[in-house]
Amino acid sequence: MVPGDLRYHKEHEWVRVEGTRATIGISHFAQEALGDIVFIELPKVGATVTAGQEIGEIESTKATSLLYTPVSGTILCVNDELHDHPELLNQDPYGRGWIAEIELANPSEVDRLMTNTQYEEYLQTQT
Amino acid sequence: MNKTTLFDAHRALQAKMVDFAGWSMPLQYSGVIDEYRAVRERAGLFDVSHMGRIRLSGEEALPLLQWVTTNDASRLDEGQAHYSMVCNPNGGVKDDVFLYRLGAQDYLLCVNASNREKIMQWLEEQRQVTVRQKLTIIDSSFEITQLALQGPKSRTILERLTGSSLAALGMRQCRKYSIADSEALIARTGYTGELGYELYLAADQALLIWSQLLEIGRDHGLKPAGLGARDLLRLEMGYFLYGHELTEDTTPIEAGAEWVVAFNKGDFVGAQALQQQRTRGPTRRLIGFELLEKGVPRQGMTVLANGVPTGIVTSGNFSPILQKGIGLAYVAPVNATVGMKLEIDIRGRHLPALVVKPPFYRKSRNAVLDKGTRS
Repeated sequence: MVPGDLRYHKEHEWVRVEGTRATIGISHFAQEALGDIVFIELPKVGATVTAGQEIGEIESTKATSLLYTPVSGTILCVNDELHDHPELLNQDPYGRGWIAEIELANPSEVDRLMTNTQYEEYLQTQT
Repeated sequence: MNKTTLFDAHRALQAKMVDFAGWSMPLQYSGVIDEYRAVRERAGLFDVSHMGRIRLSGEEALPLLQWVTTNDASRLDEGQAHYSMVCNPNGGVKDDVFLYRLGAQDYLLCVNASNREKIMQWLEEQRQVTVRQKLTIIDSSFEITQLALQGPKSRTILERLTGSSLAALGMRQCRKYSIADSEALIARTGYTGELGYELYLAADQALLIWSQLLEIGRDHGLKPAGLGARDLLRLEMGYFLYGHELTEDTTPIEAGAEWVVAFNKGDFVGAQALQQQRTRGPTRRLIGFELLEKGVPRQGMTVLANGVPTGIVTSGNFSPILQKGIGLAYVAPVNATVGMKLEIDIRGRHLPALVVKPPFYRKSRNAVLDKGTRS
């Protein structure tokens, strides 16, 4: 459940890069640890964000957790479908459960994120 | 860490286990909302053996219970149960309890897991203070396994297990039934607001009966359910959770539970303090509230009235049936009126909230469930 074409952040967000644009979301591990997600506060479109910054909140039936951006840039758009269907984050975290698209300020930042193999190793230390 | 007799069964069902009051308990199996829906629409089976089960028997069981609990235990017929509280001399709640009268001089006190040892000690202490010799107090928590079978299909499932009709077992009544060649106490009680039963079983029979219930229940959509679903179900009903709405520093009057305090039954621990508070009026009151914008309130968040802090959230979550954030909170009495608009401080955002009278969920609203939560 760790796709190879993505890069991963230690707070369990993923990044998919296409040119200077990145799509971000949360990993399968993150959604499973959170349990049923009931609400997400999405970042604001147009906002300038810095890698590692809190950009939103995810509420599950168990707890609240913060959403961090793995990369710096400008929020181009967010997945509005999550307002009415936050469960997509559980059901399809790498697909329909995507969270936001970011215009990268510094594309080389992505190289510092974990590859799928590194993330899988990292997950071993998380359980 | 304590384990219930069903620990291995939970593991086999791949439950996520959690430490709760010193017990390793299932938090969830298939998922909190899935289990929650099973209970509201069909049936759910909970292991609630972490609760404490204390037997009080003998001539002076009733007088001791009248002294330590706030409700009027003399009004219980055999085979009847009621909700009650154990208070300290200041009127603060030591525990909220369910008291079952099993026989003429035989009672079962069901207490919270976190308070079991404290209440055992308190009972012994108060028995000495009041010089009562003619009773035995036994902590039978480890000899008895307690299950809760809750939901509209619970009766059908349980009738198939016992082979006898349960139609005559009214609300808060209990009776012994024979199940799998042994005797079990079945009570029509619960913590979900649904039709439901609690089963008190000999620990060595528990695994068999747990498995049989799941087997019989399969055709009826029964699911094993954990503490996550249990908390959501109780919150929608506005039921208290000890450590949240009730503590040694909060009273039944503040919690709006005056109905469990029988002021006219004679003296009992906390009576004077509670009577005084009732006369003068409490300095805070428990309210229910619904968020008017999307968000999830949590314990410890500040409640404001026109931007000024007025209280604190004791429990909060997202109601699947209402599709909104709901919670319970203590606020200044002046802000406790139903219909009033307050705000909840959710990490710096002040979300508007409406004071409502719990339960948040009523059976007639059931239809909303299908519209609201399916994707």
